Amino acid sequence: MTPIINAKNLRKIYRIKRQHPGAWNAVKSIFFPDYEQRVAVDDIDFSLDEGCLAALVGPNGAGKSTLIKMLVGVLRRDAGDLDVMGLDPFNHRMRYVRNIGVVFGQRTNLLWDLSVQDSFELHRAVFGIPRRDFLCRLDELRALFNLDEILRQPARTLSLGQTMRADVAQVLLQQPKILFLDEPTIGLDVLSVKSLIAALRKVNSLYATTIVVTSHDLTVIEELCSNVVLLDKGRVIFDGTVNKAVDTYGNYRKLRFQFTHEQNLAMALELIAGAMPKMLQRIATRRESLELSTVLASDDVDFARLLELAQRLRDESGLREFSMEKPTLKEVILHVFS
Amino acid sequence: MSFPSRGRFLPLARWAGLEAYVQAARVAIRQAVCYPADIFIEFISYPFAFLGYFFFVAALFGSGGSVQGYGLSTLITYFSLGWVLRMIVDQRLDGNVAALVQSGGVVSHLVRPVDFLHYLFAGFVGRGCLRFCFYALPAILMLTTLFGEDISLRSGDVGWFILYALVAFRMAFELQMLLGLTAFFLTMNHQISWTVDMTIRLISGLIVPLNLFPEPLFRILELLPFQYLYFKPIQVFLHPAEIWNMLAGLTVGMLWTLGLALCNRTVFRAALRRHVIYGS
Repeated sequence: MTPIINAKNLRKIYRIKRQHPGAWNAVKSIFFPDYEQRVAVDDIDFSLDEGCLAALVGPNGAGKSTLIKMLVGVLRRDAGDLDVMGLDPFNHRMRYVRNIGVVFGQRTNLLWDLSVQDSFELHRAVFGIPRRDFLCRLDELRALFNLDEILRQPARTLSLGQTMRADVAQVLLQQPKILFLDEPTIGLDVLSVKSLIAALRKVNSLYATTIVVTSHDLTVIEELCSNVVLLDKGRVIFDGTVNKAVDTYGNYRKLRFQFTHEQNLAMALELIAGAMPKMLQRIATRRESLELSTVLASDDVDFARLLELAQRLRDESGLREFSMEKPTLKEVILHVFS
Repeated sequence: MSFPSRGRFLPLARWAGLEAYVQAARVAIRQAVCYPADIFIEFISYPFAFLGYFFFVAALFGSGGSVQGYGLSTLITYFSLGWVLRMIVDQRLDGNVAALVQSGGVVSHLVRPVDFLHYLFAGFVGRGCLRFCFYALPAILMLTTLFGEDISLRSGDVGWFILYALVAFRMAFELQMLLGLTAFFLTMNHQISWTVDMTIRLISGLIVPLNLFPEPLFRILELLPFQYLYFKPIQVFLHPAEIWNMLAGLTVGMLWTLGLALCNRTVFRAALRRHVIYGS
């Protein structure tokens, strides 16, 4: 598959004014301002394939928002090459933005004082969408985003979830080739997040829209995305599929043992210490749920010995349940950044 | 559920590739009428300003006499026209642009495939039309009713006045835009806006007709573009000159406006290259 986004040696440095405490420093800074250079995006390379659902993930200050602003063409890069759909987002901004949709979770693109349908109508005119196509797409989006109840409401009266639904629906009216979502779930309740994820998945499968999302909500990333770009301190530390990320960083397994009685826990710990001493190093005991849990490096997992241990625990310590799981993407990401 | 009507002129606008801008003008009108109390209070604030002039001029020239050809009637007409023009062009676009920059809301404009400056001008035209209908026309009606004896709005060359007023309208947009664009560089431009606006009021002939200033100062002000905001349009109404002089004046005004538009475009390009929208 051909990459739709190609970034090479991308770099962005911010010049930030430093404020020192105290009145004297405040006065001094009028005449002698103190600036520092902060590298927000540091020589990064990555590419995304057409039709993929990709996440830009990283802790605060990792450079996600800076990167997404460069990707949508509103921020000029200091160095490097950026090619999206064969265009340079910043230098060809007017032509480029015709083919993309952008939603910033903390800023609505809706007309604050006017109804949602007024915003949609302006959007139609701005993007030159033929009226017939517009009405047809709107019908689909109404059902997908449950818009009927809010179309005639001024944007300022909408809840966060309603605003986000309307914002996403609006950018989908022009059927963008790429949809950029910066923190789309901020402030949304669980149900709104679920319905947004479902709608985005449907849009991706129906129209092969490439979706690039940044979010602090790892559940969203996990449920929505097939690709992930992990960023840390302005650098890409991983770029690939979710499965590859889990395989690369999730080379451990989670083991969980649940027992019938509290007194079985001590006995089980003794058995484990004898049979698999390595496991004891990271074992956690949860008395309220009668559980022992631990993690083992994938290389240390010996199925035969584990099964043998499980059988002994069942026979001698009242083991009720035993499970071994691969880590989820969410756990992998937390593991990487911790 | 039905969707908003197409508007009578939209098919034509679509054909001309201007549909986005026509919509922007319509949206500006709709946004402006969202808060009727705001419109009403702003409307009644203008007569207060005007009444100050009326009392002052009436006290000076009520018993006759004139200064440099300005008698009571001419001055009342001068200030009436000046404040009616002001009602239409004083849209505080500089403050709106600054708010967009300060809040980061400008990003919503930048991800639209339309020219930012043209888009804002379309809004300016929309609000201008609204202000003409809701402010200027009632104001003219009110002024002629109250000061009918002193205001001679039926005289003069209305056609030339309208042409000059159109140049003034565009120039006012460009000046407010230029002030607004400073926010890209300074973030907070309130004081610059206020100071420049006050200065422009003075040197554009809104507060005092420019030819009442000392001769050397008047000669300098004649070299600047600001006279085209108020002084020149009112002058062509009060004292129509030879057609070639009017045409030459109009051409110079248009060239100044074009120069300001080019300047704004350059400043906007520079602003985009250095502007940073922090945070998400």
